[in-house]
Amino acid sequence: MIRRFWFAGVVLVVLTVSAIGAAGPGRQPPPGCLNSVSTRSADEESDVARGRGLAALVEDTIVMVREGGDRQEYRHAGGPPELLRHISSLDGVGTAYVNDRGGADAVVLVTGDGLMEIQEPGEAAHPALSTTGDLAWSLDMASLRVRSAADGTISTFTRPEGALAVFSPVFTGPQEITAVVQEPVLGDSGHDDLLNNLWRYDIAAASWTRLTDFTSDGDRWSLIRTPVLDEDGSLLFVRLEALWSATQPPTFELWRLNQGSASKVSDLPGEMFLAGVSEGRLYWNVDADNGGEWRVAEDRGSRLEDRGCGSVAVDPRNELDPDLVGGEGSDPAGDSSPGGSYPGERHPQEIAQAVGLAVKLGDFSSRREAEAVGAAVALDPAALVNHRMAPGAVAPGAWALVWRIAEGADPQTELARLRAAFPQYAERMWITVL
Amino acid sequence: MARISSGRAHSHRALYVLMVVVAFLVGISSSAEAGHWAASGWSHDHSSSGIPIRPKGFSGLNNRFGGACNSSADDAVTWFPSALDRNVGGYVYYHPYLAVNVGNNIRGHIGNDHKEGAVDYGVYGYACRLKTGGTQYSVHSWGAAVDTNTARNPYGQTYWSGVGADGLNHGNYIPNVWKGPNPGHRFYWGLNFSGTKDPHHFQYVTGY
Repeated sequence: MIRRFWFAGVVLVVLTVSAIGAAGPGRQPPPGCLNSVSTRSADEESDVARGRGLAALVEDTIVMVREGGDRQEYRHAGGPPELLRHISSLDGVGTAYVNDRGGADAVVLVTGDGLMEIQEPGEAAHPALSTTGDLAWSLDMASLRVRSAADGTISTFTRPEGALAVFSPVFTGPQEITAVVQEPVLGDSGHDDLLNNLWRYDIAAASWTRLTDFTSDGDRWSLIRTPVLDEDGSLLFVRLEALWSATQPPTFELWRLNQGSASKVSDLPGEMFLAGVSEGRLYWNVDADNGGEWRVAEDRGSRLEDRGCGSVAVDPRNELDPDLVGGEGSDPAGDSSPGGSYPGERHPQEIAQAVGLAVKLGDFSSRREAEAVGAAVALDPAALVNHRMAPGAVAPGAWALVWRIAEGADPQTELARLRAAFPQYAERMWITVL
Repeated sequence: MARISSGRAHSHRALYVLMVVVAFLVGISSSAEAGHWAASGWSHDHSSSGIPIRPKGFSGLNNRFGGACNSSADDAVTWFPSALDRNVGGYVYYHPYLAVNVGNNIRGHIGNDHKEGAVDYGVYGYACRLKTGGTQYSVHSWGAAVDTNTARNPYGQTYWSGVGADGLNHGNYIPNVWKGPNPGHRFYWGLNFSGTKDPHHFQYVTGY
């Protein structure tokens, strides 16, 4: 089947999205997200176990989305859920997802044989099923783990040598897995993603082969997310590209890897990720509310049709990550209230006062140059500062002009005003403290 | 043992003198910088402006800082020692919501305490990037996180190295000035993540 994409011609998005507010932390999904109180269990008799439909997660509920928009809701039947995320289903095989706990996670597998929870020693991500029932997932982004359906044994395949991470595995053959690999970029710390490529792991040969050739120059980054196996055996994936130094969101593109060759299918209109192929239909996770909940959308060729809320391979939006809420300094006492004097604090000059907030224009390599610009913007000569006068605001050897921000004034408003007043210097203005 | 020729001996002596002079000037500069903070009457600002509300989760981040990679996310700037390389300072950019806490409280602490040498390469603020392997933006994308002493505290390391650019071990001085003994300056430390540790990372949000 030749899959046609709704955005191939005129971009026309038809999403019948009901007014749904973002859910705060907690167990309650946004209003209108679920149709009923989920009394059915995701057990071996359920559509979850049969992998019938596209599986999506809404808080602790598994939703099986069928063609035409039918949604069947099921309750997670395993151990106490902390944060359920990253779900995938395969028709006739089953469904797998991650129960994310603070620290060690569990991979949950639901098939006709029942429910199984695989306790892992770290962070599990992106479980994927093969047609024979094998299950693969990423562990700590450092290795792939594969559970054999035949005998239940679990094998571990470390990431390619020199790679920083491996994730999003997809079974692309009986003995092969294609996955996304984070590759190092010279000079980068490796903290957060800069460069991804697709690699194939040959299980029998225990070897990795690089399949794509995207690059990064350190500022411009190129990432791959949510690879999905299409019905013709090709691999669809979303590619993102951006400059990390720019204040501009990345661009999103749809790509296809077919018979060893990767080609761009189309630009995407915004933040959206592949959700999977089910019953011959391609599904997406769409950020329809620009920062709200994830929605499932069915690709109908000429348009997208909303299939309700739910996340598939995307990270949860409004649930708190259980790995990032604990430990020292995470106490909630100050999270919803402003700072101030706390009992027991020892700061000899604990005075709430207006500090030297200012808008800075610089840097200039000489005082003379700074004075000339200062005259051009009609700034008082006393507004010149250097590193000795403002070591946190000006680099050594340089000069800058400053407009002090009055107590109570909004710094961002002042910055915007001055940028508008002197557009020729807008790119060299910032808020700083003298 | 080979003897150094008189010509090379002169150049070695000259190099030694130059090093002493440079070290003296750096010391003068540091003293002058520290003197600025105290002499200018610097003090903490622990008001609600100085240490503002720290949000929780993705929606909290968006509400406080705007969307990821928005145009305001790098509108505040502070010069930090050793930001670009060891003993090579540079500018760190971040969201104005944190201007007083970073630019006055934290940077002021370091200067006033004569602790510029405790800071080590690299120091980074705003960066529009995604977390490894996921669809979530890094907290750096909101200008709500700063990495410091990155070279000696790489991602994945499970402890903090307090050795600064000056080669001395400053213990937990740097983490304490960012996060504080509670309540401190309230940055959430990546060494407290229960997943992969990130000891050089300090972010102004929890649960994300």
